[in-house]
Amino acid sequence: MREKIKSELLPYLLNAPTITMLLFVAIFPLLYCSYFSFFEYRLITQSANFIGFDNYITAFQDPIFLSSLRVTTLFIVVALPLELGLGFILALVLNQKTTGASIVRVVFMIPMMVAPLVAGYLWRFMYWPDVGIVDRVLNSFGIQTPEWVANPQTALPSLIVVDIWQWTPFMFLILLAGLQALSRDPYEAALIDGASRLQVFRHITLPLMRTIVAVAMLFRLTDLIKLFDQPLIVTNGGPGFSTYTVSLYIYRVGLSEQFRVGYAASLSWILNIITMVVALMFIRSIFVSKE
Amino acid sequence: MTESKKSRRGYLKAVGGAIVAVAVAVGAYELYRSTTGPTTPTPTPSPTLSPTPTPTTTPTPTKPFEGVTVTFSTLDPVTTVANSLKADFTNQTGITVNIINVGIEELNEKNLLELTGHKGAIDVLTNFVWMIGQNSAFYEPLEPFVKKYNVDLSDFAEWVLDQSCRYDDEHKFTRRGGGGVLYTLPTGADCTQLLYRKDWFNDPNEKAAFKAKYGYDLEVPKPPDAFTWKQFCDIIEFFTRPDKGIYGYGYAANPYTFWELWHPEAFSRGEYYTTEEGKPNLNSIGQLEAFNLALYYHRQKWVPKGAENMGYPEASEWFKGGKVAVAQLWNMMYSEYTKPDFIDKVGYAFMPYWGKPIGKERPLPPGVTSWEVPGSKPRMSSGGWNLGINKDSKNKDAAFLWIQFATSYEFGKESARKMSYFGARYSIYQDSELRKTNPWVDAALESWKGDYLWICWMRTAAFPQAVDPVTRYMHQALIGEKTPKEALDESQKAMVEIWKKYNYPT
Amino acid sequence: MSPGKLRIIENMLSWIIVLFAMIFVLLPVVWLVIQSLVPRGFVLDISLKIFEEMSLSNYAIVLDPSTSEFYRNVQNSIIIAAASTAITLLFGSLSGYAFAKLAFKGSNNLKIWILSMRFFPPISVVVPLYVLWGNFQLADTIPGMVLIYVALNLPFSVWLMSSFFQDLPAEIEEAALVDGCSRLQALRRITLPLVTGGLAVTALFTFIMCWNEFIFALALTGSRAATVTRGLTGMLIMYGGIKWGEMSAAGVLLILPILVAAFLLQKHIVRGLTFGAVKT
Repeated sequence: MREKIKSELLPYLLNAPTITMLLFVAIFPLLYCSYFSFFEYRLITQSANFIGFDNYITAFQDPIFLSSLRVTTLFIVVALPLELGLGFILALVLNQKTTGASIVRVVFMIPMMVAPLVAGYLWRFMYWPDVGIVDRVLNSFGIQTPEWVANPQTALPSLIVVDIWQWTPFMFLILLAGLQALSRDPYEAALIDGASRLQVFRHITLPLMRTIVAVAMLFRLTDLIKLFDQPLIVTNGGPGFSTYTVSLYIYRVGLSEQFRVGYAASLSWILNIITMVVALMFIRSIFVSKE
Repeated sequence: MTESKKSRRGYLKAVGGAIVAVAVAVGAYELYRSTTGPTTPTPTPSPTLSPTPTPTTTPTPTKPFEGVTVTFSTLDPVTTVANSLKADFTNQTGITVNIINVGIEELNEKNLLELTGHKGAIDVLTNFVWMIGQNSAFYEPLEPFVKKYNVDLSDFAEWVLDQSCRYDDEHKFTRRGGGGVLYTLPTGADCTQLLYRKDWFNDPNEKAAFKAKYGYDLEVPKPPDAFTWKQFCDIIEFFTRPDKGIYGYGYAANPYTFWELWHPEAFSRGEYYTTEEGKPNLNSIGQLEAFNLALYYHRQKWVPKGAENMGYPEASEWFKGGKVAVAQLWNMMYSEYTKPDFIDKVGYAFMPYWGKPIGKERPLPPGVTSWEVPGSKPRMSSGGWNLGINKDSKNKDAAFLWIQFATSYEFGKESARKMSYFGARYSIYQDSELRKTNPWVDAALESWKGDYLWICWMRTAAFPQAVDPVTRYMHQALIGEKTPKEALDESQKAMVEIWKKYNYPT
Repeated sequence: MSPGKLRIIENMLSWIIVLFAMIFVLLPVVWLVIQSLVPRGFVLDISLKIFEEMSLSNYAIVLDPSTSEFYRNVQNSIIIAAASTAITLLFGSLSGYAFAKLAFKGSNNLKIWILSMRFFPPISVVVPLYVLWGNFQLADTIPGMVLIYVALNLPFSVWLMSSFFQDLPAEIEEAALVDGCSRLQALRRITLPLVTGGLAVTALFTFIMCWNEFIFALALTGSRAATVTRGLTGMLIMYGGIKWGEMSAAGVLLILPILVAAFLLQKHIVRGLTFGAVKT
């Protein structure tokens, strides 16, 4: 009898450390955060007044917050498909190859390993007009270049390029692993049936890769929502507000100059909710599709 | 079987519920505890020591604080000098100094993290000039220490003491500081100047070409004289030669420094962040004209390509690399230009003012109604780093001894010699040896006389909160997303909103 | 066109694509390395002359304890990352084993809950953690950072380890249990040694995450517990100019350990990246 109880409690015991850590370091601060999102809490004067939902109401009327949501969404909508597409192309190409494939794989891993911070500084100086390496290379081919991160229209695209540089390899590696794990049977059957290569891709490869693609997109998407390092280092949210992402704005409101911790907490919660909704949609589709 | 399952589930629910309840309770308690901590921002001098030295007949130990450690957070260049001299300090006093280096962009955040934590982990903190309003509630007033240790303040530049060290509520809006309580001692007397390529300006070919084009000589006025803004435009236009990769004005126009760098345009016509009474003054007619002038340099492309994302370090690199003819930089950045290969190429002058234009007529920039404003005089931004004692420090006397050392003549001389960072003492600025290797000192000393220096950011705690949206609105005008008037109107609105929260005059 | 020719053109095209991609990927990193070897700091005028000036002086300056904080940052980072990795491995393996081998009520829901923790934007916990850690005196301390990094990495580690455990055939453990071992003994003596590959990958990813982490390091460390990412921002942009040479050196030093480890474990990394999603 004791044996049975012990063995039935075991999974919970094994999970206890994990759950405890997460409760105290993640859930507890989140609850605390939601608690003082109902206050006007200024860190400098250390005064806190209860103001109910005022912070949330202010947030939805805050033009800067809304603009930062727009900037973040724009970033995701452009970067994610591009990374997926480019990663897929590279994965398909390398799926056929055996020579030198492992060297290529290692090389492609490099941008992922570079700390986003270092990548940020690196690209910031690469984008320096006329003098930075981007301009030097392009100008030597006679291409006229804009001011990259100093021009409000090209600032966001320039940041997207940085993200693509850093994370397309991530997509590529996942998709490649997925492709190589596919069994050959459906392909052989299709070839016997005389299907063209494009048809094979559309009707066999893509559906079989659905789960992997969804998982990859999920991780990348939630990372992009949190985007902080690059906009801070490369453009500092500028020019104007054109690369001011949500995380950056929350950081400035809460911990830098303004120290309006209550308002920052409410903004964080709005961001949390948006992230969870999007993530759960993806998770459901992954788990559901497996049945 | 189901019985035990049910009871186990119930058991787990209870445990889970208990954990959540505990979490919320502890959180609530923490919030309560942290908000009923010190809430009064008004400073009261705390009598931790008797101002009169107690007479003793027994010989006092020469190192009363032997073995004490003082923690000091600061930035470069002070860090480097402090590291090299702290051994001397330890020999003199027996106090060990633990030096922590902080980055420029995070100084405010790190200071506040420490000060609001009330743990007293850092004894002496470095501040920028404008932080005093915000931090004064957390600092120990220094007057009692000054008296106790008989510190002579007369060698410190008076304007620096006023701007960086003295503060009280009546002086929160002043342009040149002042105040009843001494909170810090100064480690710097920084201000901006106009730097120019003396070798280019003195080149006879350039001079001839300039005279032909603009109708007057290319001469740099000796401070306290200065160019007029009209002449300034002539000069930077003249030196803008994009095909050679050279531009006139190295204007670092990223969202943060863009605002700071058009202060001379505004200050020189008497416009400050607020009126004398403290009402926000960001969209007055004078400010708008100054703003339009600053925008004009960019519209005319007299600034390097990509300036909109560049800060002071890049501006310094442009100047060093020979890409620009003039730049507006702070004293502490000049160490690069005092190196032997560069020292003769750089000249130092006051920033321009709205004086009577000379030479061939120049069309007014859009939004500027006249080149001349009566009563205008050159004005530049000033700032000065300073050191304060954490109220929660457990070693305040030892901390003060370190402050005394770090602002001493010896420290300043070493700092000036090594890093061209001159500190805030008259005697160092007047040292003839140092002046030979630092030609900018002449212009600096001239700017100290009279009303040429206004504090770069307002000292009241409310001001830093306005900075972020405001600099970006102005930046939007720079990149064309807003008209100048819209940008300043919105900035004014943002500042008024914050002023209202603090019950300041609007 | 004959299919053979089409094949060849296709082959060439695909190699060109790969080549371009590799150049795009490598160029910035190569530039970083070159910059770090040029003592002269930021180079406004690049010419082939810089190849004559190369030296390791930037690395010497950056690593010298008396002239730079970076050395201490490296120390802090190593300690924090190592401690976080060790604890995360421990907790993560226990949980991963439970999910993989033990069927229990709520297992699916718990797993989803743990994974969902990964999706919370760090910025939303930074603000309350800043206040909380201040009150608990954990701000700017190594234990404070370790606690955070463990929590940050647990979701991914749990999922990863559970997929590795799942790969193990159940028979091995069954055999041990039949022989009279308790579950825990079987876990320790038999199962764990079989997933060393999984442990290695999890350790690597956790270490990388801690090493490269920026936002918590920026907000929650001052100077005592500053990590390398924090040191990089704090140290090298001075008002007077950009110490680009030294910064590049620091950047390379930041990347180097990760690259070496990644190269050694590359096969396992690919497995880790799919989180066993292929098989689940």
